[in-house]
Order: sequence, then C-alpha cells, then structure tokens
Amino acid sequence: MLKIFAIKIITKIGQKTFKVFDGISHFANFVISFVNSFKSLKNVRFRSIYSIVISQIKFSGIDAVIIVIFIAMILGATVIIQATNNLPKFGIEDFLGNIMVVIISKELGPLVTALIFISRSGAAIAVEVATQKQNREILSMEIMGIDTKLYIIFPRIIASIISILSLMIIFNLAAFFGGYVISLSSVYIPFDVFSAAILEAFNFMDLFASILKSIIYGILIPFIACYYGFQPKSKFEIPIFVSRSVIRTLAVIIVINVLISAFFYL
Amino acid sequence: MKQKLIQLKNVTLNNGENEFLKEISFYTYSGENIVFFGTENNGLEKLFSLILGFEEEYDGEIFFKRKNIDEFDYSEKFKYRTSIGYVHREFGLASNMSAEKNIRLPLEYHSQLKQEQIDERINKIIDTFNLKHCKDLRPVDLTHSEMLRTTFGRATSLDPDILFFDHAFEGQSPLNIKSIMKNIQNRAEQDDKSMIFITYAPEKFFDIADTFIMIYEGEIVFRGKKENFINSDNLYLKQFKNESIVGPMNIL
Repeated sequence: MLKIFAIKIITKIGQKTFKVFDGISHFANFVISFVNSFKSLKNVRFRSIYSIVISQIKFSGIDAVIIVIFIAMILGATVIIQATNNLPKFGIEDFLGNIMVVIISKELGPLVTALIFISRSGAAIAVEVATQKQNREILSMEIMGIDTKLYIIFPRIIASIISILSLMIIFNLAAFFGGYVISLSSVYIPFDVFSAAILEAFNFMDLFASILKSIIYGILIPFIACYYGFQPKSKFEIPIFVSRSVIRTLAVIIVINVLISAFFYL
Repeated sequence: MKQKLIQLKNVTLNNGENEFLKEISFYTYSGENIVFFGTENNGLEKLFSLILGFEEEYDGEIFFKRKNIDEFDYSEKFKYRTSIGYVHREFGLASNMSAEKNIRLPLEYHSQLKQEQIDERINKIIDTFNLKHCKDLRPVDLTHSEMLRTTFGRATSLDPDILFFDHAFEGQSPLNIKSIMKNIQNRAEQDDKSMIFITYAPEKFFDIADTFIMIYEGEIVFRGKKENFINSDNLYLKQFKNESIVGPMNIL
C-alpha cells in the first residue's frame, strides 16, 4: 500500500517536473522565434509600428498616471508617518531620508509600478493578443507577410520601457512630495529638511538601478503577456492563459526585483 | 509571356494519423483562374496554408515562380507572402483598426511608397469598393459585405500576383458584393494576375474560372475546363452537382 502511494507521489512529481521543463523549453522556443524575427526588421517600415507605440504609451503610461499617483501618495504618506513616529525610538531619526530612498525609491517604487503595470497593461496585452489570435487577425497578418512576433511584441516592449520608466519617476515624486503633504496632517517636518534629507540620500547607483529595473520590466512584462496571449487554442482558454500570464509575470518580476537589489546593494 | 506562378508537385500532407492531401499536383499560370471545390474536411482547408508555407512537414515540392518555397530564407518567406492576397470568410480584419487603417496596414508595413502615394492608393481602393461611408469604422461596426470589401481591399493593396479566395463569398448577399464581383471580373481579364478560389459553390465562378479542380479525401478526383465541368461523366462531379448523398463520396 505504502509502496503504491510512494510510486504515485514520485510519478506525480515526475510529471510536474516534466511539465515545468516542457513549459520552459516552449518559452525558450518563443524567445528564439522573437529573436529570429529581428531578421525581418530591415523589411519593416517604422511608420507601421509608430502608431502602436503611441497608442500603447497612451494606454499603459498616460492613462495609468492617476492610479500611480494615488497609490504612491498613500504609500509615501504611510512610510513617512511610520518613519517619523518610530525612528526616534531607535535614535535614528536622522536617517529619514535614507529610509525614504531605500523603501520608496529603491524597492517600492519599481515594484509597485510594475505591479500596477502588470495588472493593467500586462493583462490587457494578453487578452488583446489572445483575442486577435482567435479572430484569425494574427493569421491574416502573417498571410500579408507581416512578421507578427516583431510587429506585435516589439512596439509593446518599446512602449512599456518608456511607460514604466516614466511611471516610476512619477511614483517616486508623488510618494516623496505627495506623501509629505499628506503626512503633514499627523507629523510636521520642515520641507527644506525633508527634501535635503532625500536628495542627500540619493546617489547615481540608485538612479542606474531604477533605470535598469524599468528596462528589464519593460521587456519582460509585455513579452510574457504576449507569450501567453499567443497560447490559447480556443476562446474558452483565453481566461486561463490571461490569468496564468498575470500570476507568472508577478512572480518573475518579484524575483527579478530581489535579484537586482541583491546585485546592487549587497 | 505567361509564367508559372504556383506549382505543386506530388505533394502529400499528413500529421502521422491523418492524410490531408495525397500526391497533389497542379500549377497555375499568370492570368489563369482556378476553382477548387469539394465537400467539407476533405483537404481543401489545408491547401492554402500549404502554399503559403505554414505547413513545414510535407512530401513533394511547391514552387513559386519556379523557386522552391522550401529554399526561401526567413525574410524571403515573408516577402513571398506579399505576392499573394488572401480573402477568407472570417475576414481577419484587425479589430483595433478602422477599415481604412486595415487597408493601409500592408502598404505601410511593406511598401517603399511615400505617404502621399500610399494615401492616393488607399483612396482609390476605398472608392473602388464603395467604402467611403464606413472607412473610419472599426470591423465591429461594419456589415458583412463591408467587412468582405475591406478584406478584399486590403488583399489587393499590394497588388499581388495571386488572389486567394477561401470560401469568401459564402453567406454574403449577392447584391451587396456587386463591387467585388465587378472587381474580380476586371482582374480576371488581366494576363499577369491569377486567382484561386476555394468554394463549395463552384458554379458561382463559372464566368471567371479557367480550370475546375475537385478534391475528395485529399485527392484530386476531377480536373477540367469549363466544358468538362458541364459535360463530364465523372461520378464524383455528378454527385457533387446533384447534391446527392448517393455516389462514390461518403457523405457524413
């Protein structure tokens, strides 16, 4: 009995492992086909991609500004209130600027911006591509000689990098200064002291790490969304793959965030 | 001088379990129009994806202008597809673009033309297919015939050598697609262009087609000119024309 149970468990683990490797190899093939698609870049007129970049920036970047500012201000205010109330208990109130930069600019800013981007734009990209595939729009483009891997993914990556970088900057500014304004309701810190502390805590490495994160997220989020968008074989499968796209992009981005932080700051 | 545009030599397509096409051979000259017909699920569906290079595992050879399509490199494969316009019953119009933008897409992606030249060509297509009133509408707001006319306009925007119609006119109002039929007639008179129709209703193309080919169970069971189509004693053709379930074809 125990032997049968053990065999069943091992078989299950084996099947799961095989499925994971199968998924990785499938994703790797998709990456290769995307890289290969750059061979046809010389045949593409930029004017056909330009309008997609602009509409994606509008949807993913400009339309997301308000929600990013709102969340940034709430988080910024929370961090400022907690820091000003608790840092003195440990005798490290002079480190307010450092704490703000570490928590908001280095970690929360990029991560929360990416999370908002995944839930808004990543999901939208996956649904859009999946629907286009089911309506045979992608097949029609292929028939017209359009390299759809390039035509669909490339402009979305360009637009995502620009949008995420811009949203990250907006998030930081809103979290610092919007958060400061909100926190005035419960604590008072002179503005010049606050801004001097922040500026002093910033360095070139932080800026570089933020830009690098926005580029990596800008590539990965639309890429994974497009990958899952291309997968459904019927309309019935669209929600399954869109949900998978969101969850797996979230997991990948959190891991990447940790890895980049470890690389730069450990 | 007429040249061979597409040629299939002994092409067999299967996926290990099912044989979709068996030893298919045919060619089309520039200026020639061919109608493929038959019953459902008997290989017609695979013909087009095969010719366009979407099927990679097949036996035999496929040539376009005497060049084996297997020898095309990555970019050539995409360029080759611009020589073929495709109109199918599901249209495949980009749902996030207006009718005009759909027609513009292949030109803006591929052509070296200047913007003004593209505009001029697009306006001409819009006029030809009576799409002026709906050029700014997205596919969801178009009628069936408007979608078909937009798809046709898009397929002809690059002025391809071959136009491929995949059950495109089935389920359409004959009156509303008059401009398309007129355009097809005009095109049929051009010596350097070809058309291939896949249909369940070959008689609709009687005035246009030069050759009729019937496929059943992946094999060519009838091939002939107009006169043969009318007079042939071919049992498959007779059963098809009589819409009978009794005959050599097993109709499920």
